[in-house]
Amino acid sequence: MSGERAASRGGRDAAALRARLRVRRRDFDVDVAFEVAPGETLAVMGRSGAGKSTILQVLAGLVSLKEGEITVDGRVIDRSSGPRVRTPPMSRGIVLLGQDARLFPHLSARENVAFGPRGSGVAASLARSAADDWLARVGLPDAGDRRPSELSGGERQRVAVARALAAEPRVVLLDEPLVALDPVTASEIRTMLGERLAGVTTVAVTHDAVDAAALADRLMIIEQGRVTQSGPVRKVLAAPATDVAARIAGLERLVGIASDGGWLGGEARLRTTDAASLALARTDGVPLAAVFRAADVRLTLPRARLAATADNVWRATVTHLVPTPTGVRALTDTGAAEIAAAQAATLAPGTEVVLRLAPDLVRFVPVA
Amino acid sequence: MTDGRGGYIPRSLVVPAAVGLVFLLVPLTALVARVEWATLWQDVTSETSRAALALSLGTGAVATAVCALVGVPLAIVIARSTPRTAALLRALVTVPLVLPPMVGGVALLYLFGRSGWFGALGLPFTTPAVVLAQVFVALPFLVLAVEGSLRSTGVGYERTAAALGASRLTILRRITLPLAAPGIVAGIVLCFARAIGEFGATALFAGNRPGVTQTMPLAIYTAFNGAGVSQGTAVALSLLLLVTAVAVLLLVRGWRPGAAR
Repeated sequence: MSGERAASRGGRDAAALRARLRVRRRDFDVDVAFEVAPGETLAVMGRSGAGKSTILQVLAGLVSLKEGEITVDGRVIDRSSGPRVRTPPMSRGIVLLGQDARLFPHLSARENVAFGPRGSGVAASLARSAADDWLARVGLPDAGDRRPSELSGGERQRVAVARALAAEPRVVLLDEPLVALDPVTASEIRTMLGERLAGVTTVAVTHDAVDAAALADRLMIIEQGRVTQSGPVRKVLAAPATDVAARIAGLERLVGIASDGGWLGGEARLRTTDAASLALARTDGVPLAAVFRAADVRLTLPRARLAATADNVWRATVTHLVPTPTGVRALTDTGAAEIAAAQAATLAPGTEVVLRLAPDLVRFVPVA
Repeated sequence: MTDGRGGYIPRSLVVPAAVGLVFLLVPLTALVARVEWATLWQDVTSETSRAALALSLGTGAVATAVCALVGVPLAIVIARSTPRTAALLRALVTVPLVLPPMVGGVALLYLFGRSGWFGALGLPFTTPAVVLAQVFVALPFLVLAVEGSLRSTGVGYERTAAALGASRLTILRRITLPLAAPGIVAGIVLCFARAIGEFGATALFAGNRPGVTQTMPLAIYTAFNGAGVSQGTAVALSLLLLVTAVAVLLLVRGWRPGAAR
């Protein structure tokens, strides 16, 4: 798939990025290794402070490696030892697009976009007309003469994208470029980014699974400076190996053990119809996580004398009730359920409830 | 101020602000009040005064150019040093500011005087000595103004430019200097104002030779001390210096490259 995408874009051929890096931070070392195929987009997700931005800064050459090696198309651009290599940012061909567009405030949008090519010796008039083409491609055909201060936040990000790509980078780094924008603008720019970055080798840090799904081929989850899970985006999001990954995917994840072909966690026992999950649950006692969507869980008040909990039905105690755009999310000591606002009115923290989950809506995943 | 555009400051601040402004302007009014209008034209067009004005503007311009040439790089180096180094360098640059200019003149005399390290140059009591004295006292103003502006802009734009593949020289020419332009203009204004007002260091190091080292402040001092002339001449020369300085400053202020930001 990435091969097709690479072919769809003219200009410089996409580059392969390979990185193995260790960087010291105040609280822990960031220690990761990954590869990005030519034209592929790798999404990096994780909690704030997990080391995602540090990785981008190392790739961009703004932070130095403690140990490791970074290569772009086999050429070493950074190496900690024997012999040490440290290519300055201006010679790496790696452009970082951040949350702040950082347009040069004294230059027009056109001159901003033309900055990279002019710096590398392209004649000013040629660079300017190419800049106008780029502005058209990011959806701002008439913005060339405007100053950054005259542009909206979304327009500034569009110009920043045009500026980054006009410099013909070998690798593009995205550090949550959409996070400061309103949802509508973010969605428009996400679509535009998806089109423009097709065939461009990209590493994208994001907090939003929507970004990862829309932009990336593969997803890497970082926790405390380490990779805890990586793989094709859909696969990682469908089978989160850790709590953080489950949160990112918007799934409930309960850790228990395999028991009698199903999942056992405290009093709750879940069975599934999913073949892959059944295979995992074959050996009793193996640690296993059950994953499901809170929206699929049915919540009821316990009828009198519900003697023992049956399969896929379990008792729980409400801990929090959190309003959501469509209803209320009832958080319990074992899993959460999305319920209607009317039903939530009958509940309070401490209320005993019964949760039900159909066997076809739960899957088991290995515990990392 | 009610719509918040002017921020929210205590209204009572207007009182001390007005006192300050009045204190700056009233002495100048008193000076203008003493002008003898009958002899004014004669005073300001006299040989001495024309020579002094030409010398002041000439040396002031050269001194400002020298300051810009070495001061802007110095400011960039300070602004991009580690905080500790920057603090040290900033303190060193500030020293000439806290010294009485006359002490600066003595120091220059010891350095360039006949028995000084650079005595062979024969600089004291020449026009270049005037320029040197002005550079010595005016340079800190330019450096501090430019450095402050560079530091508040930060290195973010320079990093962005580097990632786009720009060389160090391109970054300096197209990013760093244009963004620092308001600070550079302010620095040049302050520097020139300080240079043409310079008296103490010039008097000691360059002397008071009409046409060679007698700048406007020295001419005013000479006239005021009544070296055969009336105080009217001193007042007239002061007025001339005032008007010239204001004109030059307005000219520089009017030149705002691209009205950055």
